[in-house]
Amino acid sequence: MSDLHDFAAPYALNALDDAERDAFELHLDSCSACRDEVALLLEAAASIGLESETPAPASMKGSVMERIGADPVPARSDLRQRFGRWILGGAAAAVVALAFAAASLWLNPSENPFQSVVAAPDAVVVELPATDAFEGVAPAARVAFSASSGDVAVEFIGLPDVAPDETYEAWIIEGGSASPAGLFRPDDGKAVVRLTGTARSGALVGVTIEPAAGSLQPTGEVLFLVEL
Amino acid sequence: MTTTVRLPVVTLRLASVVSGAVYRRARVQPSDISSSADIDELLHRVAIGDRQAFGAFYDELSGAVYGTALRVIRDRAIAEEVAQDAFVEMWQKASDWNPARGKAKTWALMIAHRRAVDRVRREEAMRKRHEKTTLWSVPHRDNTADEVVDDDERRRVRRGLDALTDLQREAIELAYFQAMTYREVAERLDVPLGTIKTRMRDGLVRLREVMGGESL
Repeated sequence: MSDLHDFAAPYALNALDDAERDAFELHLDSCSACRDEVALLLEAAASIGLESETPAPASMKGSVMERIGADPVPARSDLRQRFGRWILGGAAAAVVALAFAAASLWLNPSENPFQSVVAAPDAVVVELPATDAFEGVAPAARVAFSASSGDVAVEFIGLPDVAPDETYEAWIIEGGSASPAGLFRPDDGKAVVRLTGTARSGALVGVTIEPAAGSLQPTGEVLFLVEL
Repeated sequence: MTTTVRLPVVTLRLASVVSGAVYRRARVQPSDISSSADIDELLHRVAIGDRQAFGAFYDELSGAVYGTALRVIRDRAIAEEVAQDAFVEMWQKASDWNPARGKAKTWALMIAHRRAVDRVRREEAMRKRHEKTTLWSVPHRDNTADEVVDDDERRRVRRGLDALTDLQREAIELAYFQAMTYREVAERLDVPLGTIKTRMRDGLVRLREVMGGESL
């Protein structure tokens, strides 16, 4: 079998047959040099597409929006296998955004560990959904993540109190194992935590309730979970 | 360990209007709607189910997606169908997009181009099978669409591709616009497989140098 590495350019041009494409995509899973090369070459291929720009028929947008209309955004398949369908879909995100906009005035922005992660140029903010294990009205919760630094922060509004001998604990879950990432208790329902340790894209961030001193491995049910 | 959690009443007295303000980073100016940073941000929001963001994402990319499909498929009706399918796929797979792997625009156009190529190859395979069993040739293209697309191509300024050597451009165009595999390109040009792969790679690298920080 010829060297798979030189499939990168034909791959970027969609010039492989189905079998070659499958083989190369499998190869990509384990070859970061090829992944980097493909990323570069795909940008070049994309520029050809951008130069081909032609206004789409006006009716096309309506058809597309109708087709996605009732479609919930599916959970990522690997999460579904491991934890079941615990990721909540979309419209909640908008309300969460507004809730934080209104509530975040209580902390001086420059001291806010969440904002310091958001300040990174590649920072992403996503909703941190409550799982089925969480009872009642879910708090508004979100995660900030910077892939380049691996920094993660979480922020809650309306997080319920826990008993005096308990605490919330955050976890960074990678490669199937969970690392302790910080203990916290809400203050008037609010909590802002910069997680200890770093995470890579694709890692999970989870929250459980643990005994007050924390645990080395999660013992409580996972109450919040998201994939970065 | 089971714990009963006391749950306070959470009241969100906020309208259902999506402001997007919290998710939009301050450095992105509202007028600069075509920058990649904005499209990346839109796709982040699409990934958590934001349909309004998806509408804006569509607006930014519908021309490039449809245009790519049209130039490969050369039939307006089928190109529109494929472009629609591509956007639906983008909605469904938005959470699979890894920003570390590339820009949202790049990801979107890869999906669009791949679908267009697959469609052409399917149509070709069907046409060949049909030709074996019929006595007359079945036209598989809308010929009037062809004329319009050709005119458009002749007039279009293609800054990127024009910067390549003839050999590089030829190999890339046969693959990109004619949906050929690299083997078919090698056969058509009567050139070794390795040479074709090299020309494709060198051409794409050159293309990125020329187009690099501008359209993307």
